[in-house]
Amino acid sequence: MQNTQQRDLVTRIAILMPYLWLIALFLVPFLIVLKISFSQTTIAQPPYTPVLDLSEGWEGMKQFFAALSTENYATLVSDSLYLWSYLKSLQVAAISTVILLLTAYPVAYALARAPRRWQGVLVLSVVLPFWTSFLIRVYAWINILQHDGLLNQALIALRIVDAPVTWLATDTAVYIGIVYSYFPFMVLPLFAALEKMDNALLEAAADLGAPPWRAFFQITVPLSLPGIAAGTLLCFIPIVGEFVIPDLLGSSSTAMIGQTLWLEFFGNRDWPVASALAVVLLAILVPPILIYRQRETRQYSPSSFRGAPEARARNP
Amino acid sequence: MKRFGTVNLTALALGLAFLYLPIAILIIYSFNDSRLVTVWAGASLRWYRELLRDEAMLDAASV
Repeated sequence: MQNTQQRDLVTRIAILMPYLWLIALFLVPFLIVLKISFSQTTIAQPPYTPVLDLSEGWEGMKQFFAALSTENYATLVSDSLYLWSYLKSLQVAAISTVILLLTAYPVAYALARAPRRWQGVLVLSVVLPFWTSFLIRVYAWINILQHDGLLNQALIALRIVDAPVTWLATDTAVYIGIVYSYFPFMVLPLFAALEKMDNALLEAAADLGAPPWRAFFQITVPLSLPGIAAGTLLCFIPIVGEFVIPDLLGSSSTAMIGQTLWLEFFGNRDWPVASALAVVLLAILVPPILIYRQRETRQYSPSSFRGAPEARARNP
Repeated sequence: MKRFGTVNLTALALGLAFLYLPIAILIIYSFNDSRLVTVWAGASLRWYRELLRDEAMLDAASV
């Protein structure tokens, strides 16, 4: 029993390390941002007040808490700019995620069906662009989408259009940039789910008389649902907060929450309002994650210990 | 028996093309002689020479 106790202790310490890391590098910064969101702007260094000064003792702490206010959250509600930014971000993220799902699924499916010899190389080739600079690849798109850039040149040469089309500083350019940048994030979870699928199931469906499209929608897609969920969340959540791509490829009227936050922070030097924006953004994004986590843990509860597919068949 | 099929091949080809075309275009146009990014003026190593002479860039790359 000594060994079990030792093993338990080692396990606990092993889990403690990432936990501490997450607390130090995620929770503490978030608490700092939360605190700033309750402060007021001031012309000082740092540009907000009150500043927590532990040397002041208990009186200082009481003054500190008394000076906090929810004024910034009232500002967020009063100006419709912020509401539109959130809605726009959610809209862009939702549409981008759907486009990503539709374009990445065939690629992931092809990867899963590829001969085993080639799978490693092919998956690597999907990931490889990620090893280059993200910013440079977005700049490459600026180059292509320019007024006299390659896309317009190609369209005119193929006589699809008569005059150059404006691509930059439009929502379309932002969508292209986002889908391009997040492509591997969607392909890989889908590939992981599709690769685990047993091909015998498709053969069985064919034997039972199902046409390929029906087998696809009734067997392949439901079985790849964990991959779809993972890829969707992995893309949707970061895209909501995206700044670089809308900033480079979009215009100020694209006004996603990342751009608004940037403007508040660097343009207006209004750290408190920017922090309030960030906190509200987190509040918006947390429920989907919680729902996803709940569904995931439900699959692995004792009543479904035989695994996910059977569990889903019993608990639709 | 897993048949790969033309649909899968097309999907894979299009997907990889989508990912690699901007990078390929970037590389090809880095050999462009012209200062205007979109006008092709003949191949040259002009920009690579300028890069090797640019102290700020080299500093940024080495640190």
